[in-house]
Amino acid sequence: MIEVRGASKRYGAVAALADVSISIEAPATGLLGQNGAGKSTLMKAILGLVPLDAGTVRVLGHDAATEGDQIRRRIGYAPEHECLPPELTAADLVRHLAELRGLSRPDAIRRASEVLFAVGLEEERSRVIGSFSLGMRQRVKLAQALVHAPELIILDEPTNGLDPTQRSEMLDVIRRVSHDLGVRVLISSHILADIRRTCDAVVVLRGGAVTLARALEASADEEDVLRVETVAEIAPLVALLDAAGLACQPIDDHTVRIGIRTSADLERIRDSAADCGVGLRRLHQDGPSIEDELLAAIG
Amino acid sequence: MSKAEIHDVRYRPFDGELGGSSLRAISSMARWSALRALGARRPWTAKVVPVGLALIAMGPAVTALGVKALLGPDITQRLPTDLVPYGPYYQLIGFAILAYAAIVIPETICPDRRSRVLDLYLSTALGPRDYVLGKIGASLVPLLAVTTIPLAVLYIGNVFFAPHPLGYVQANLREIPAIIGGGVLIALVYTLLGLAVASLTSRRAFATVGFVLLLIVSSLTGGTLRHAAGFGPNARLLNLQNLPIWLAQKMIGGSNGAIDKGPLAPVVTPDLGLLIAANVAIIVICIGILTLRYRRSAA
Repeated sequence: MIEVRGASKRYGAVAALADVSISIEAPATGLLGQNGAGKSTLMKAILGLVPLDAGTVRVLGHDAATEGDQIRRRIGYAPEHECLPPELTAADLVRHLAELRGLSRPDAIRRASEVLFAVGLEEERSRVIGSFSLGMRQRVKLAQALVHAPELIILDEPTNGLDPTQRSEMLDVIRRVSHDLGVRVLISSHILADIRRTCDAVVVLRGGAVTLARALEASADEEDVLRVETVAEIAPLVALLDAAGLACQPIDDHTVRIGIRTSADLERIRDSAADCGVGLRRLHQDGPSIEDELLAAIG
Repeated sequence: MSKAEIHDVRYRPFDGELGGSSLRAISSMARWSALRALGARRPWTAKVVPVGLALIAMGPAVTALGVKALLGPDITQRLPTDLVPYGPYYQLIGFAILAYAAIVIPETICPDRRSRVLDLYLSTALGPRDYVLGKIGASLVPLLAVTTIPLAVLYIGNVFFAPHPLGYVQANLREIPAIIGGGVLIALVYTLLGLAVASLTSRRAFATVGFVLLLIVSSLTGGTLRHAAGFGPNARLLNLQNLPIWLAQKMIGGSNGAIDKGPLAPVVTPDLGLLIAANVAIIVICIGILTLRYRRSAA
């Protein structure tokens, strides 16, 4: 869907992007990084709005440097900053942007109603945007990005400035867009929890460079390591777990490291401990969690 | 019995056709911008200025025709047919034209920068060139109505009140393209001038003041050079307040020889060739300013 190879962009002495190479395919991908990490620049490069100093960006099969118009025709974009005319109604603005994206007038009217319904603004569509709360304005931005049924939408910090309730509602809507409506989403944020809640994959940027790119759920062949501490001697439990095919590394008489792949493995440990009468004292992840990994990558 | 219908307004993939050309986007931009500038879907206060200026521009034509209607055919036949001549008409409505360019045209362009909706527009398939063309259309068409409709009404009225309507048309046939051409010229020059000045600021008030100052300074400079420095009538080429109006008057006056004879006509205008060159220069400079202001990187 998005293929970035060796992308570099400097603004004077500041490297906004430094040899970025990533491939984005997940239904919902988060761009994570602190302010100034290069998230917005990367998004604008994907839209073909920022010419790169070096490297290439291909989006939906088009080269962003030469076919930006084709890309922008097929994707939707919601900028981070306030960008809505306060005197227009939500329906008029979405309809206007639909026409700019190539819809005929009747289609634009119908689609404006549909997308405003989809983002939960059906009751407020005839109100002027100037009277909207920040959360409602963020939804209008999302609606206009969806109006031409794009294959991909790019949302730049869509929860910026929202209170906890508005933020939670917005994240629910975004999750619904990517998983129920089948629209791929690329979302930027500096809030780890937002990305964890809405995305399937994450790309972490720091100082314009990619420090991590991975799926957010552990894959089937990826093993987590648990550290299990018991009250009694651990040997009977290790024997049972070895027999069940779990890789155990005893550390001492009461502690063992066990590799697990699924939640069924966790249940097996619990049941085996019960079967051999060994009480569990403590069971926790050994080594860094995804959160630890992401936080380290963000810096 | 009335028939009820249930409409499904939920989001669904768009299966209609997306327009491939930028023509639809340009016309949409022009239509929405013109409606906003003319006060459509806004409080009545937003409609006062554009409607009022259009009525002021119609005033001389309506008055002249009203006088003819009131006096009746006996007296009318003894009056000169051109009670209000076509050429000097532009001088009569010059205030309305300039006020329209100063007040209404910034309304089409300044709010986009102020509310930063320009970024949103340029993230669609709409390019900077399409945006500028749309704004030119939004400003030009209403101003064209101010510059051409009054003279068209006057012409039609004169035909109606003439003792021999067909003879009047035959005698004044060349006025028709001159009226259209003069109206287009004045509207085009002041549209581009108004947009070029307005593109330099995001505040409508600053754009209006800037436009008025530009007219005053150019007029004073031209006058000073003519009288104090002895540059002759060609120094008036710097007078932006009248430059396109003089050329339009020459176009109309050239067809019936009325230029410079009426009480409202300028005493001495610059040479025709220089007038054309100066108007072309204004158009080119304004297009250059607009191009520079709306390059993609400026977004």
